[in-house]
Amino acid sequence: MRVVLSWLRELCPVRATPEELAELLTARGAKVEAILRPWESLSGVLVARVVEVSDHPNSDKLCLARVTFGSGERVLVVGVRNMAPGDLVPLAGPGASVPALAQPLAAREIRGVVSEGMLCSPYELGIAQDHSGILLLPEDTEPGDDVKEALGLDEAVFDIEVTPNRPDLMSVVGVAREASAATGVPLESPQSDLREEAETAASAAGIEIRDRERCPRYLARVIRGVSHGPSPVRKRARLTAAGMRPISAIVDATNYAMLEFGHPMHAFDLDLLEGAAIVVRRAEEGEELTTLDGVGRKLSGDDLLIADSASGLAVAGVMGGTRAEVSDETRDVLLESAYFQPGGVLRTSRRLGLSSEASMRFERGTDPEALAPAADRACALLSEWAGGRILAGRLDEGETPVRRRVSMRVPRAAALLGHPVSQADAVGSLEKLGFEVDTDDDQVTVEVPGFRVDIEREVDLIEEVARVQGYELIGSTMPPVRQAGGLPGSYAFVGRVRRSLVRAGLREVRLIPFTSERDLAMFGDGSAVRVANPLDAEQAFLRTRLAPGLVAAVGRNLARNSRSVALFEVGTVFRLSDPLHEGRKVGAVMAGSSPSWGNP
Amino acid sequence: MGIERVAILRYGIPDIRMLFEGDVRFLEQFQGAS
Repeated sequence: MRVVLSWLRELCPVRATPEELAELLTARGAKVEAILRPWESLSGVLVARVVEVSDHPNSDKLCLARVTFGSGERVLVVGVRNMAPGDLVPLAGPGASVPALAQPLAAREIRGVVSEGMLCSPYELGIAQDHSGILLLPEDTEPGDDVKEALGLDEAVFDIEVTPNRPDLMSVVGVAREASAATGVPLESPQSDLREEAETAASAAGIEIRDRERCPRYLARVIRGVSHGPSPVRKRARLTAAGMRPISAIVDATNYAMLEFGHPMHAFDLDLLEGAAIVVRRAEEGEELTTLDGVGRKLSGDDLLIADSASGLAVAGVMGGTRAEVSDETRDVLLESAYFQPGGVLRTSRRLGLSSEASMRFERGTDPEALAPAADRACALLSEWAGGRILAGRLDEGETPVRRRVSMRVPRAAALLGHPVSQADAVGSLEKLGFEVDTDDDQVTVEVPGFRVDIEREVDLIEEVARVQGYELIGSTMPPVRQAGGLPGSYAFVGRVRRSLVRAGLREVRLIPFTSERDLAMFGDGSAVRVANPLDAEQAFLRTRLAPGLVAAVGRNLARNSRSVALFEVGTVFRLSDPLHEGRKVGAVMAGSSPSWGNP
Repeated sequence: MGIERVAILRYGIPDIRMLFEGDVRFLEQFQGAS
């Protein structure tokens, strides 16, 4: 999940540097895999005011723009003509670099006129795919300002690892909660300035849920009179930095609110609904729907459908359909904010081979308590960015599940974690995470908020306490040694024997424990244990003594021209018994002569 | 036979049988722990 740091700071105003915050979040369990700077390759682009736009003497398609950036003026050749005198535009003069171009800008001649750089569209700045016109900058920027700073493109983006047990981290507010718990800086809710009309949403539309198991709750709001256009440039930049594509103010508002709350929503064109009511039902086996990507889908009876009285409008929780899609002509919007059962969305997504930012979140479990606040936020943004009047009230069918209650015994936490945990520690830690805590003797009980799908039992709470307090408190200790060390007597004795022989100048050998019939006979050993599957047919018996092996080793050494050989072996010998008897023996052999041996 | 294979890896011994020959030219390349 990509979290734009400036966005995070709106919800939790931490002062730490990106690097400090990343380290802290990682230590507390929300791993920051990377700190990204998406606009690294943007530099030297300034805010400029358009002074004059005139025709290009040698081309119908091009025009000339004269702009001022405070300390000077430039003349640019521009391929579009949406800017007018007084507008603020991004000027990329000689030496500036933009993400869309590999080389820095330089003055160059275009059809006979020198263009001192270029004016930028959202595409050149890497803010959106749109290159239909020059980006008109907001009025709160000044000519001469650095565009990167003015549009907030110089901020870092955290790439947070989202583990399957923490879907709540797929939202800015989820990561902000972690930052708040880690730093102690209080969490602030996204501000929604909602002004409602007198006309009620209930008078404009209705909801019918036919499958309460797959969709326990469906909420909707209505906005009338929206206009088509892009969302504000800073918000488009945020969406892009978060990995989503800006499309239009209406769609962007729902996506922005989704990223903020972690709750996916969908906008329908209300006028294209048949019967002005949403029906949440299972699809008929084979029922067809064309999804927003233009692909015709055949649904199964297990797929959940958002439909009207005529036919399907959207594959619930996965993707909208084309029939009631929001477009340039849309004037009235129905905003869906619903809870879909995770398993159902997962199956449908797999069956259709279709996944989206929405399905990813529904599959892992969204917050059933976020439906209303997320919808309100989306409406407020939609109204701000696309105009429109929000009708009063919410259409709200179904129920929110009751919160789970989970308890934890404080002494158990201390025992499991290995460091002292007081009741105050436990309560403080859990409250920092946004839980409501009751205490009772040495127990704490928590009402688990909807966004924590992973808290189910005592040990989950203990883990939260450990996380918030800091894993570094869990010390390392050596395991206690319960018995005195030392070698058993027989081992110690063998060790003394071996060391004595080595000091006497002999070399220790380990030879194979097998012997031959001939060697047995030579030493007068009648019977020996026979090996059923010998490595060597000639050596098919377990040795009864060490001497034959040692003598053979001497032989090999003499054959290889080593004149003096002094060897010993501590090894096992075997005698036929019932079934057999193993004993350890030490044997030594010396051959040749050496000055250090003295006279034999 | 397990520790012998560790010795082979550790010391780069090309043939496991060298450990059981008792050849002094092999043995004198090792200093004992005792």
